[in-house]
Amino acid sequence: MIVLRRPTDELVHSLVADLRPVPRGTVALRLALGATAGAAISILLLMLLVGSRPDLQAVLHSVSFWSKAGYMLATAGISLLVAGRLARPGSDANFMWLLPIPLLAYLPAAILELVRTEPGDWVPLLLGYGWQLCTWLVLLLSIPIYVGLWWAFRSFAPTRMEAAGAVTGLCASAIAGLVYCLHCPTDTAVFALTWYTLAFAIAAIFGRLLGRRLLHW
Amino acid sequence: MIRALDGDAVAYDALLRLLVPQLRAFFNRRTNSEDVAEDLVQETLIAVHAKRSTYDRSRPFSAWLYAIARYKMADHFRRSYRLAPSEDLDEEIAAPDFEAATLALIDVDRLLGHLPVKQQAAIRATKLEGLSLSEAAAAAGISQSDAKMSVYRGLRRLSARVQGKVR
Repeated sequence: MIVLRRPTDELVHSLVADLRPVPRGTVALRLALGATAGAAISILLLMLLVGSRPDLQAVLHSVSFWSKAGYMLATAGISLLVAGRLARPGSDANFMWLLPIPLLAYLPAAILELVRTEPGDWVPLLLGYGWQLCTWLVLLLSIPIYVGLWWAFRSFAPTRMEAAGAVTGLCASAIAGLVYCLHCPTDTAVFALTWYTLAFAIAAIFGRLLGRRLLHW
Repeated sequence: MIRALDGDAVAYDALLRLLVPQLRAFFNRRTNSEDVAEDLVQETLIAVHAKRSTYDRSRPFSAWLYAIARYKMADHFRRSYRLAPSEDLDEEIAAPDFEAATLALIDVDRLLGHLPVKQQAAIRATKLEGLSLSEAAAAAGISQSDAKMSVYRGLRRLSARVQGKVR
């Protein structure tokens, strides 16, 4: 009996032989793992470099602290969700429009602060304490998280690499922003919306540039 | 695919075998070389295997599969020309009619499942994979007239079955 065996058939054989069950939620689990590991390193880095703010205990009951942290948390959560979408090929449903929602929700707080402040005091309000550090430290802290997310994405199959890169960059910086809330002494919305958002934008741009190179599979 | 994700090797084997001719047709109609098409078929199969955890069980399998195939295709063009941006290529190679054809193929597969194995194999080889009668006979290890009879009987049975369903 003659059997025609083409290389493709052999390939199918070897792939079937290599089959192992894949549990549900593998993508979410891996993303969470990458983000958590990265965040842990970021926290460590923050403690080594600048330490936490001395009044951390006290501000845990303050609304302005939590609305700032909430802005980071919401941005991180939504971008993680979108990243999970972009990790899968053929997820045509576009969730990118969700990304600016935390910013829009936080914006009224900033406007309220500006209205309540004399125009002459707007500059100190904007600069707060530590504006020189904020953006750059958030960016620095986002690096380990970006590496964690990149590790997660290595087993994924993003087909829109630039979008996936930008969203992972944004996600990394939002988590880094959350970490930096442990130190940042300024809780005003004007300050956070300016300097943290600047960090998000820079991280997203870098992520987009790196996406094509790093997320290729 | 869902059964394959749970570790069912028989279902996985059947799925991959079903995919091979479909992917071959998909790439053959988009490249001008059979060798390139076959390479892409293999690369796509490997990607399906390696990236199977990214298949969302609640979404259509064909959308996932052809997104991978299109990605491999775009990747191939990027490597060989290095000029066209991939976002445009994605649009260019998207072929919605092909996905409909895929679903039709799955129906065909279900119908073929009702035939004896020998007739199934003969029809699949000659009508779906485009082999000649003699190649198909050699692949199945039967004589050429035997293969011809199998195709004929199988098709007759299929058409009877389809007409029966319509009525």
